[in-house]
Amino acid sequence: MKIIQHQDKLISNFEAYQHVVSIQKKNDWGFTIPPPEKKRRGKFNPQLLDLEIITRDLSQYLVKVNQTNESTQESFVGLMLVLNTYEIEVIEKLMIMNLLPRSLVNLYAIIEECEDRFTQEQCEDILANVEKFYPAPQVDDEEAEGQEEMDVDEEEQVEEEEEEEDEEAFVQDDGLEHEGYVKKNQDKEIDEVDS
Amino acid sequence: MFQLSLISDLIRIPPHLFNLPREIAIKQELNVKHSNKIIPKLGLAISVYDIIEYDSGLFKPGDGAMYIQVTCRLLIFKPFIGEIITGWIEKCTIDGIKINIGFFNDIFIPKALLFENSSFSIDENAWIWKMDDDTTLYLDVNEKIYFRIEEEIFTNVKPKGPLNNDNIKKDDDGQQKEQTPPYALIASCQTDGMGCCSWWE
Repeated sequence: MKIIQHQDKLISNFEAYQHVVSIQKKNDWGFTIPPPEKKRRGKFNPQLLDLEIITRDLSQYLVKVNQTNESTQESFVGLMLVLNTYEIEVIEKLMIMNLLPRSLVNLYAIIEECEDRFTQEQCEDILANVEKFYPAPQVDDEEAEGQEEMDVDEEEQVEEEEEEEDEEAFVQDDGLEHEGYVKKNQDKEIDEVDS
Repeated sequence: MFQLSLISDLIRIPPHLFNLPREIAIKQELNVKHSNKIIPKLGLAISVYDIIEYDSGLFKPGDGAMYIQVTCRLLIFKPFIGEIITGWIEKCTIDGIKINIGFFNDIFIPKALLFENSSFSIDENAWIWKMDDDTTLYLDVNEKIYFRIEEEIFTNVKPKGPLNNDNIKKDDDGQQKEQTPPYALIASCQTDGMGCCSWWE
């Protein structure tokens, strides 16, 4: 293998997520997108295990950080056009797109010497535009409400628990046992029974 | 955090993939070879992004497989120095904090690069930042934090030998020291805006 060019282009989280979603679609995996209704049989390829693991972990990370399946190209382009009107360096723009700062402190951390280069109004304008194109999700409130209602509604309780379990599995990453293997083993058993 | 790198590689297409369209077979073999692997001096390869060009391929005597020279772009995880990333605290030790971002685990914040006036509490298993006399902030396990990449370290990792009795004995002795990862990142957490996400909202 020969590396021709170390850095051809920088890629934002949004583009990386689009790419990962396309891999999932191509292989009928449903880690962060709704899984296909009918799974094609015999598609599991043990050689592609590495690709599957990295796709799963990366897509789940990107979803947890800020990407959602709803974020569209329009909002991305829209925010980019606004940022282009300011004199911000490319990597600073990239970090704004990736991190979506919601407060002045976060913006100051991203942009070097922000106080000298921009007035406070300009900074607040950038933040307002981030908020406009990517409205902050109200997850925290909903979760808090959900926990209050837990005692009342049993179904909701189950859902909440499932969500929590998913998060734990991601953080601790114990769940390397993955469905492809299980599926293959099941197939084997069926074959044995048949024969 | 991500970038595209242009590489050229000689790929072996085994005969059972000849029925696939050539481009799909090449992509699959490239993914098998590079996905989820560290490329020295480059970063963590995630997958093939696109194929630029490939030649018509060659057969070698005695081998039914086809060898194709491919030029393609790989999607690489390689944060640049100074980049701010979101992650989760995996482990707090006396030496610093280990960060987990799901698909990559070798990110470490040494204690020298933490906030001034921070100390490690063994009882609580957390790093505590005394911001001023009245305020103390905790960096707990599983907390979501912002951190800045300071340095990247590539190590040449030798392949593991076969597992015979000698090797097993050696492993028992050397269990204390952790194996150095092929690609590690050193991060810092000492300016405003870094640390727990919830502090700055």
